[in-house]
Amino acid sequence: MSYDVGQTAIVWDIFTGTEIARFASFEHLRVASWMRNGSVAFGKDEDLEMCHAQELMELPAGNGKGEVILFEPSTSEHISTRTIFDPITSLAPATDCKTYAIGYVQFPN
Amino acid sequence: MLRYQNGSILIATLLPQFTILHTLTTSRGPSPIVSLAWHASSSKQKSDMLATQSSNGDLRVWSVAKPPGKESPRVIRVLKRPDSTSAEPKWIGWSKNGKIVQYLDG
Repeated sequence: MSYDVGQTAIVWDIFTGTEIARFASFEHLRVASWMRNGSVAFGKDEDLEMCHAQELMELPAGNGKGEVILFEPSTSEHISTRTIFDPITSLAPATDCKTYAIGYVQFPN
Repeated sequence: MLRYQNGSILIATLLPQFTILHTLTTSRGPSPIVSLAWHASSSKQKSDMLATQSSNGDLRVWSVAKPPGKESPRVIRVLKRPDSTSAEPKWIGWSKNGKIVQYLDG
């Protein structure tokens, strides 16, 4: 999957070089990772966006405002979930596709 | 900039709503988390391993019970960056047999 400054994430088929799906975000995405079931999650600067949970193949990503987005490449659906209001610096879905380890950065007042 | 940033790690479920299961805390001063990686264990094992890489160079491995809500995760391995190196950690990944690859820049 590629992600560029145009805030667009593209899922590629690396064997054929064709584009499988494209996801454009209104906000800046910081991290993205593949889930074991084939989904992608994005983290936005505020919310977690997620694609239709368990039955879908989803991509999770985390952003600078504590949002995670789950994006389903085959249907282009996405779901957003807020976590805490801190930027997400790293995101790792566990193999059960339900639990996530989320790394945040905090700026003391 | 790094002096003023702290890092924290949550283990949480997102659906049906955001639920925090555990907060991973360390006694050493926290710094932003650069990379997180789960090592999937076999279904017979009772825990998974989670590797965490901080920007200050610390690499920690946590044992997280399956399912995650039962016991608190605990640190089973700590690798501190030697003060002599200025290399910046960028990425970590697990190999299938449980070894960690750490990529540093500089």
